Amino acid sequence: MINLTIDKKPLQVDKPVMILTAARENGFEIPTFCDVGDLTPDGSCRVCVVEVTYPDGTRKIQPACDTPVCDGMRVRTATAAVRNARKQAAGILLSLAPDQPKIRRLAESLGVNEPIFKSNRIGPGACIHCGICVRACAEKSSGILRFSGTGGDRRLTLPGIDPKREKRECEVCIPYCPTGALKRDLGLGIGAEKAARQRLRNRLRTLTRWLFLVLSGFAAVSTATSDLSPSHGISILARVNPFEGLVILLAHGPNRALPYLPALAVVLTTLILGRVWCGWICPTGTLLTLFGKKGRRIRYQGLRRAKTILFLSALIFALVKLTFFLYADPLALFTRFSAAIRALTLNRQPPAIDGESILRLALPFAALFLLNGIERGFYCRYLCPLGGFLGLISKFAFLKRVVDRHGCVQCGECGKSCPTGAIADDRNYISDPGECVQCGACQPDCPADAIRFEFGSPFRRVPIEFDFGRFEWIGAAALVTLITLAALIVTALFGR
Amino acid sequence: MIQSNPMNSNLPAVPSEASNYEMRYATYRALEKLKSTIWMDYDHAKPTIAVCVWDGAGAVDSINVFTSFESAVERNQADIRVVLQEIDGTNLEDQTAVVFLLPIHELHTRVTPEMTPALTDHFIEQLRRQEEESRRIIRPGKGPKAAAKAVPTRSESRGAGERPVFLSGTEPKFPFFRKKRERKEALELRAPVPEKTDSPLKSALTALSNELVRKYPADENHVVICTAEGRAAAKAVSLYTAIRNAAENENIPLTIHIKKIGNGYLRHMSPIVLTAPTEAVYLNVHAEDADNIVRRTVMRGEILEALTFQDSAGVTPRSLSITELTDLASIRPESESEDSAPETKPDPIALLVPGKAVFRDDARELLETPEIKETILYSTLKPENAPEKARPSAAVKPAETDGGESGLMTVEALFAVAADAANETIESGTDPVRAGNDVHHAGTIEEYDAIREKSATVSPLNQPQLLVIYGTDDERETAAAFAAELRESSGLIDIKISLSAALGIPGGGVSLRIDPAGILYTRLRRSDSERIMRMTVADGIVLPEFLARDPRSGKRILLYKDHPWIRQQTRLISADFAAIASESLSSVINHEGYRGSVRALTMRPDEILTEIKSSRLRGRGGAGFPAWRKLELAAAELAVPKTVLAVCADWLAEAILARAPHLILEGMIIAARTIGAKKGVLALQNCSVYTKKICQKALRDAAANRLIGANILQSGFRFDLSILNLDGVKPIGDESAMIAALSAGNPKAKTAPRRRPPYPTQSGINGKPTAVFDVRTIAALPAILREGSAVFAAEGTRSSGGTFFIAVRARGKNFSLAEIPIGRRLDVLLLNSLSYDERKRIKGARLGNRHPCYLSADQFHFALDETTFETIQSPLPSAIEWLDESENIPRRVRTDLKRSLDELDPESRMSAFGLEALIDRLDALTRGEIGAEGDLLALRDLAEGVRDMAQTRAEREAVLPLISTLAYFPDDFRAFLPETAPRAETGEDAK
Repeated sequence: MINLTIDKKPLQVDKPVMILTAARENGFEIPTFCDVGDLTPDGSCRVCVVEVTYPDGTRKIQPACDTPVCDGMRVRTATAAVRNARKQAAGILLSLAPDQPKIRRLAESLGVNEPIFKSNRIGPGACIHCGICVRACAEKSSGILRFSGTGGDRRLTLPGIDPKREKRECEVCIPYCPTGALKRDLGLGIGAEKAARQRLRNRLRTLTRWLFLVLSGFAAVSTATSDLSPSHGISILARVNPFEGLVILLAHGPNRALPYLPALAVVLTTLILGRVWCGWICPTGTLLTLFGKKGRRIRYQGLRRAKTILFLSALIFALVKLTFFLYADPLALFTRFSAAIRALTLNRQPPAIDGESILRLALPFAALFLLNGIERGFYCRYLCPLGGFLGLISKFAFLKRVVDRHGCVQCGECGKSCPTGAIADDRNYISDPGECVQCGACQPDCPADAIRFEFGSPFRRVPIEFDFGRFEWIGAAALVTLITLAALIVTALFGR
Repeated sequence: MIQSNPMNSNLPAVPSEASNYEMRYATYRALEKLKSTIWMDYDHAKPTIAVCVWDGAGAVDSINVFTSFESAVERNQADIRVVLQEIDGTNLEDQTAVVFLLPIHELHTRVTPEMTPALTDHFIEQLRRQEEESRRIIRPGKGPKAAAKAVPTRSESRGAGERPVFLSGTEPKFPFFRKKRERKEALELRAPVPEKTDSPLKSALTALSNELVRKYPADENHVVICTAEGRAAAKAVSLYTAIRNAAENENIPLTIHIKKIGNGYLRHMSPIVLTAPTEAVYLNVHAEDADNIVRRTVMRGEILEALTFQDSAGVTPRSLSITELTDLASIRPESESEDSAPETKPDPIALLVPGKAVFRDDARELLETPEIKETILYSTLKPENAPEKARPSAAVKPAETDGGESGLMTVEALFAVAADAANETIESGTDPVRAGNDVHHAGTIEEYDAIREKSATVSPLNQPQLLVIYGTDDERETAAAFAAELRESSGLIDIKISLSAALGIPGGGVSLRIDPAGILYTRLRRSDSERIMRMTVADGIVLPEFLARDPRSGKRILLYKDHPWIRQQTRLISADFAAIASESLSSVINHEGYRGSVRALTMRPDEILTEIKSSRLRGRGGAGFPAWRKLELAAAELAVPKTVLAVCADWLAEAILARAPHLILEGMIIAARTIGAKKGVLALQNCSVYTKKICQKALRDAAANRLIGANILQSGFRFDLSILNLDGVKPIGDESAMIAALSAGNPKAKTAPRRRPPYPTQSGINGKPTAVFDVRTIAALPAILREGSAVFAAEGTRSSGGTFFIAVRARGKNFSLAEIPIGRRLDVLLLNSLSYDERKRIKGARLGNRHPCYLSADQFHFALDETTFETIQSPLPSAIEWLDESENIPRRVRTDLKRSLDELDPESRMSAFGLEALIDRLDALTRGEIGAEGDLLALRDLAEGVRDMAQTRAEREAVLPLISTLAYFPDDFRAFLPETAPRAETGEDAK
């Protein structure tokens, strides 16, 4: 049993653990930077320094993370000198990498807001020589990564390896880098293989989407021309539409909904893989995300709940046998062309260009297309009721996008590359599983390899951005009621 | 020779042209000033003829006048003192010789030897008249004892002295306007002479002597020993004994008093000796000076110049000794060519021909004895009057403490104080080596004695030899070349010429010590070797132009040991360095070399440990860890083999090692014996080829004589030493890095600062106990064992004993090495190393070598010991550089930081970045980008943060220059702030 004092509070510790461990167990706050959970501490960042008075009277300022406690030791965690040393250490780190949010946040927590000097090493992803990657490499891998050179020429090297030729499978060190410099800037090629694989996968996704677009177009045209379903006029495409199926089920009963059985496959896929439909398959989505700004531009992202409200309103209307919400359905939007095609092919004449046909066929699509000027895939983000439906399901999907909060350097690259703007900058770059379309565009650019798509329990705790709170449920209900009322009034006035 | 015209008037003969002679106003001023100076400072009790003398062309004339005055006085059998008065001869160049008659206060200029008899007669006449007058006025009481012996009363002489008259030459007659113009001119031409102020030490000494000496009756001999408490008291004890013995030997009555002093300055000068009736004040008196004090000062009233306080600020008017007289005569103006050297011209320099005295066996004693000095060395000069016989009124008695003199101590009290300091009084006469003998090791002693005998036959102790002394390492090449030149020019003369181990003389360049007398020549060039060989070695003529000059008094110094730089040192470790040829083992053995190791071999390890513990030796490498503690820790370890690792990574350490390699070997044997190590490593880092070679040679020599290796001196103790070159190990001087490099198996071990514990004493080289010492620490061990720990501990402070080596330099000069006791105050060191005028310009000091700390002049009360410097988180400095006003402190600091950054361990990144940040901020400051006082505070915070986040001692100390300068030289940094300049201007405008 080791007796020691931390900030004048006597403590007892069983084993000769490090001061940091003992202090944290007993509720003392000591800031750390280079102390990464599963690596042996080496006290190189000097942010966790404390003042230690040994039993023989010598007093030193030591890093808490690699100084073991000993009997009779007195520790003070917040003397003026200690605070100053921490502050200056943070200031130096900040000056070396002024743009790194992780370091900036650390510095701000210690009272440094601006770089204290102009370093000549500053770059977009400057290496701050913290040495964590070297430790990680030594402990978790071959230990080949090390610093070489002295003074200003000191840099990370992989001795004996030509980064241009050899392939390196090991990427253990990447998540440990606090600035992301390891993957981005050092020219060592660490993580380049993986990123290349991920880019290839992304290209594959694009290819798949266009393939499905072409197939859908073909299906729509063939439906229109060969009249595969003369009775109800539903295309092959519509049969996999779970939204339409659900609305029909509620409005017209199971018999009419029977052709929509294939849509269950989409629901199941969504339950397993998330909104893969939206990211990989949906032809309307492919067209409507052709251009526009990625990321988020609209400040109030709560608007995303509109699509869920639309979806719920549709369900309520369906109960009273009103199905006009299907006009907003993405596949309906797509297949609406088929009517024109049908007219073209069957009647051998172009459809009449009158006000009604423009209003019904071209205008909605054009309007939605132009809304991309605000944000890419505006429709998919805010309006698509099918998306709202799948989003609700995918909250319980097995495959979800997960961000490693320790590894994330908060560079914001992922948010910029997300086509649906699902990644929240202000919430540690997590994404609501209801919004993520599993496209994987965010992955290759992540300097810390912190983004993974992981299978897991559907009920595991994942940060969810756009869930409905209690008041939002009430508001949503009220909104649905209002829409219903408005629709009823409109039907009453014009339906006659 | 005798003037033809009769001497009937009271005026001596006046040269006829003198009446028309008009004096320059500057000369007039100088004479007036001289008059007042001499009047103020002179002892008026005795009639005196003061012949003024100064450096320059007229000195020879003055000396001639002086000698003829002496003969005239002797012819008249008058009790008149004839002295040489050294003065500042500015504006008096054409007035030689200037003579001042006291107490009648007549000033004569342009005196020639022909005029002296007449002047003397006139003087005696005046004295007699004065005396008659006084008898008439006051009271016809005691008349003069002899007709010729005039003793004027004090009051009268002072009355008469108020109006000195010009006699020789003329009274200057200045027309009023002319006088004005001349004055203006004089003011314009000459730079204003700075006001000479008394230094505080000078005034303290004057106060002390006024307080004490004036009390004693003039017909008794008194000596007052003033001592501070502590180690000085121990010295005072031995001094007291020595003076008493000397007085008994000479059989003169002498009362010795002891006084305790507390003044901060005087503490470090103690023991101070004051004598009465001759009012001499001697500082830093050693026991060996006692004989001279008794024989020369007490018995004959001479002042021993080497012991007095010499300070150019004091402008002490004092009588010159004959040595100085001849020295002064030898100075010629630069216009004369060097061909007029003494051998061609029969001038007073010939007086210095000492026959073969330099190389007689007893030369040393010969030069010491005053009589011999005069009769042999300076026989052509008339000796001074026979020394006054000491008055046999009082018997030799110990200090009388009663009698109302409150400040005096009893001898018992003194002993008590001394014992308190050193725990045990120093036993004189007992040989600690013999005392610590173990019967079983008698063989070792015999073996050692055999070696001593052998070496005494190889190179007898008192044989003539020339030892070339060099200061810094840069001068070693030159010194070696000079030695080679000497050897070449020695020709058939059989004389040993070698490099000395002496620490060097400041400003001495390549110097030469001529043994056995110990004469010191300085500032030698290769071309001088021929002349030295021919004149000094072959003919035994001392060449005065090579003699060193006291930088403060301008006096020439004959002997090495009289050099003020040598005198102010406390040489425990380097006592014999000057007489030792560093390359020769026999020379080392002749001077008690390896005696410490012999004693260590005959003692049990725990006894050695106790001895070292009581010496209070601390590590000299920087950290200041107690040496005994480290040895104890290593000795307590059970694992074998243990190793002693001596590190030489500093140029100062290298300077010691290159001078005394055998001392280091001896010290390592002692350390090894203490901890039971069989192996020793002498690790050299960044050492010169010469050092490596001389170490190897020393090791070979020692091994050949069985002083090292298996079975040292038949004692059964084995110690193998290897000398390794660790230049490639970075960072320099880091013991962990060195141990890692020395550990077999992993030569490329990680060089990062290893986590401690385990300390090297537990797990060092190959995981075995290793005692790592700096070479300078090792160098102290032989002295401790040889002299006994009490002698060592008598110096230094309570927590840290002994002496240490320090390198001192002023701006633009080379470093000079010295050995001083721990705890010496900086101002005392400054006092000893610079003259007053230089000192006035000093604004601070840069202490330390690799990671210096800066102190401003108002912090010079700092004592040089570990505990004091711990308060500013600095190690004990090993080098001191005095900074004068012109120093650009921020630039110096930047250089220091940059160098620290380059030398830093590459693994310690945070400190490196911190240093980069500090350099960047400093640059911003000097560029004027830092705009506010608050930014300076931020700079300080940054510096302190970098210091506190440091991992190793080297990193911590790397920031020390900046932190100390920000603390002690804030104005140097504030000068760059843009606001301060306008603020100062507005302040002036407001005035």
